[in-house]
Amino acid sequence: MADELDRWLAAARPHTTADDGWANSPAGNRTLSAIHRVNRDMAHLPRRDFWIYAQRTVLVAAAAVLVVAVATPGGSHPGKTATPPSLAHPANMALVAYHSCADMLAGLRAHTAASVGPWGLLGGNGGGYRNAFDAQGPAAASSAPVPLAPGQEAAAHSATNVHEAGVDEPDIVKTNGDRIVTVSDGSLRVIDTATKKVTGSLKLPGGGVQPADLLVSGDRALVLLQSFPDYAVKPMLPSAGAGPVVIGPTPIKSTYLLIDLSGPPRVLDSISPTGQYVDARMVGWTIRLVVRSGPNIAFPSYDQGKLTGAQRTARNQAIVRKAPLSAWLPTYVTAAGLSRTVPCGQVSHPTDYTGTSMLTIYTIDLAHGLSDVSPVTLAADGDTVYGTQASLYIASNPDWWACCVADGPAIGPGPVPKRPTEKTEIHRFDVTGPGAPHYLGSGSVPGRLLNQYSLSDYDGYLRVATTTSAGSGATPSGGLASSSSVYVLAADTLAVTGHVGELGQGEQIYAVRFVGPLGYVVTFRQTDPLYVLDLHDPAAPRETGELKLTGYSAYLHPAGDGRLIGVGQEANSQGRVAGLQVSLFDVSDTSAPHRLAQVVRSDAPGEGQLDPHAFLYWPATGVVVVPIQSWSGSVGGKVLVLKVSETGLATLGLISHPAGQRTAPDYQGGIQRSMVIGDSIWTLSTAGVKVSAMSTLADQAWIPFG
Amino acid sequence: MDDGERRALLDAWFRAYGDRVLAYLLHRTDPQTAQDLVQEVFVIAFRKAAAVPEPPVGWLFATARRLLANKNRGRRRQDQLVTRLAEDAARATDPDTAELKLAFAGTLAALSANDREVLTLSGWYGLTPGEAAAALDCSPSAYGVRLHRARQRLAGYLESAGYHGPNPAGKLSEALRG
Repeated sequence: MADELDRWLAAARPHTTADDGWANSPAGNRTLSAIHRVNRDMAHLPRRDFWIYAQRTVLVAAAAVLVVAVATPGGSHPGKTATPPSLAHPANMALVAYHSCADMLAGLRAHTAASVGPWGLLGGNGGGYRNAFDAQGPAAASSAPVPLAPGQEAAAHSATNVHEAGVDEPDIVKTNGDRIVTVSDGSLRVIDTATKKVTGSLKLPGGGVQPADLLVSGDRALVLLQSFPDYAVKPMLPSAGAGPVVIGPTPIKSTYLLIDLSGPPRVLDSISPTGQYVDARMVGWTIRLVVRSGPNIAFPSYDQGKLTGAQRTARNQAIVRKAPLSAWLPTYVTAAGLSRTVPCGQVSHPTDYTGTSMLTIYTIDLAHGLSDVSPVTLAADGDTVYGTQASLYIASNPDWWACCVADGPAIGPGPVPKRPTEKTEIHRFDVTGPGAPHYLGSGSVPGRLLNQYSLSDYDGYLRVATTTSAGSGATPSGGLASSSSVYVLAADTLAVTGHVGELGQGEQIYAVRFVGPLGYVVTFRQTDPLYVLDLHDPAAPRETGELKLTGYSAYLHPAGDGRLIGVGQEANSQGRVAGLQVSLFDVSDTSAPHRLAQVVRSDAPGEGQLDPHAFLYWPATGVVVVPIQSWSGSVGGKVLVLKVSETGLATLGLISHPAGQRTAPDYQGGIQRSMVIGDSIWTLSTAGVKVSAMSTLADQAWIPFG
Repeated sequence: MDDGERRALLDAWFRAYGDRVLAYLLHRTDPQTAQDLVQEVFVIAFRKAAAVPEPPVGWLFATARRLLANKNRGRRRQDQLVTRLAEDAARATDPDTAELKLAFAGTLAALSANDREVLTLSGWYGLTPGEAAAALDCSPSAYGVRLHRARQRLAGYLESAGYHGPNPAGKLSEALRG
């Protein structure tokens, strides 16, 4: 029986280019040589079996050198003082809602039928076969501290490192100075900062394998438990008789728990929308939660080879044209078990849409609870959320891997499907009022975003940084030609007013940060140009300065007074990575950015992709805390603590945690978050919370998680 | 351990296991990233040669998994295994194979990421149970339990989807239960 199973499993396995003796082929030989070359070059660095170096493949010999655009004297325009765009429905934007349910059904059927293929909606946007378990990404912003009840004074404390002030992002830990609330390993824990003890704990559903995040306001919290399969619902519909078996989308849902923190933590209410959790933002007590769902339509799959591809597609189109409205309309389940559907009147669509994905925004007022979540739905795809106090932007980075393979058929035989042009679609919602957000419109730009930091709404304009990969296939060396641009769009129409392009030819964006009318972009393949962009004139954004350095920054943080902190990896001039680096840049002269100071830890693996929430900068004392990765689960995590002065960066030391309990494969090892409360640095890992003196890093307390 | 020994070990390990590690990565990410990561795995193996167990294949897979997880962390995605399976299914020319692959892709999508890992590690890369356990950083007995449960869940989904009887997916379901 075991052999039987092996046979079927093997039959289900996609073939890859590695399966035909790759390691002993010329391609394998080249890879082995590259590995040896890297090892030889690394030989001079100190050996620490403890740490591991990340290495890049051997690349092109010469770095591309970029011509710096010099700002003409007097050429920079004063900042625009345009009045903020009207947030009611602007006249020149087509607000497209369906006129009626019948109108909506006709529109969805037509657009979805045009998107369907011989196997249904496989690999399409929003269809169930999209990877259902998108991990929660870094959402970063510095939120204002939560206002305290009168008569109380909590110590000064840090908050989640968010992108936009006043807009909180879900994270695994929140504090108001008196109390720390954290979710990890399937439990919500409350820690009292005065007694340094865990005062409350609540086991969350899901057995600890679901990623969870928190949003807290006052004594209320929303726990966001991310997508998991809805075991109560059959994933596919069996067909009648012995006919063709049907394939349907995978029912995925996420669950949001309203928690009361005024006493021992307890669940007050919950809501489970069908669809994938995308992200959420909170302003004050109001949370906007974004969920993506696909149409629930079943397609036959096994037809004994009687139909051609074209015939299957035609048959599937007919199925789509007969599907009921309920197939598309998103639903959510209340704590009482009642299922609710978004009404047609709350569904809008951009001019062009595929019908294969619906984005629903639920509005949750923490004080009022989950009785009325006012969902609004947009027939569009999305995976990146960016919020300001007035607007919610949802962007979709087309996952072109869903349909195409860049380097030829790496998986399976057959012709290589053509890759669609990369573009990013952006949808904007007005969230100034309480209750449901208003859909304002959509726009698109070429290329793909890195993350939410690629977007920035300022002074009536939306700046977007994207990278475009050129060509329809890979270059022989395996790389993709690419370049990056920043587009400026009018926020009310989302029409492009100007752009500056050709940043970092042959490179990709590694970090972006917009600070007021300026933008900073880091591209990298071997060396790291840090570009300074002047975005004052929306019709003519331009590059004013460039700094070429070895290594790169993966995260940029404004440090005030014309300085920027960069965290990433150092590398040699051939682009081979050589350890964690933290830099302090002086960007006060936009034509001549330069580095003031740098700390390199050649004994630590660099941060290839820093989660902004894991970064801490406390301006009052200049303290910077950066996590240091640990590869081995048996060793506890560490963070590096530095101090920023006017012109320098000094290492204060390291804070370490003991090794945590081994849980189900959880690669969020190490110290995940750092906070400042009063005069101490509080660090959080799955093992517990450590309190250290901010000035000396001396141990003050250790709060283990049982 | 001197450099000569390390280099010899690296060569031996690469020739013996490079295919499988690359296949693992190609099933979960784009070819460029897979290529980058397979190189990183073996560079790390060289650096830590003295500490790598023999045979090293479980350790190599565990390292590949960690590198992939770290890469994906910044990009808000987990691996693209299900997407790869769906693409592969869509390209199948023989209807039996297509149906099996579709059924597998679809039901795998309904399982947790942990279940998917344990199911694919067990059958696709020639790993013994001990090696697969090492790849998942868990004990062999824990691995055995997880594998059994994952198989039952997969079989359950296949059956509730109507895959039983003489078609390939039905046979897979039966074999999983067995």
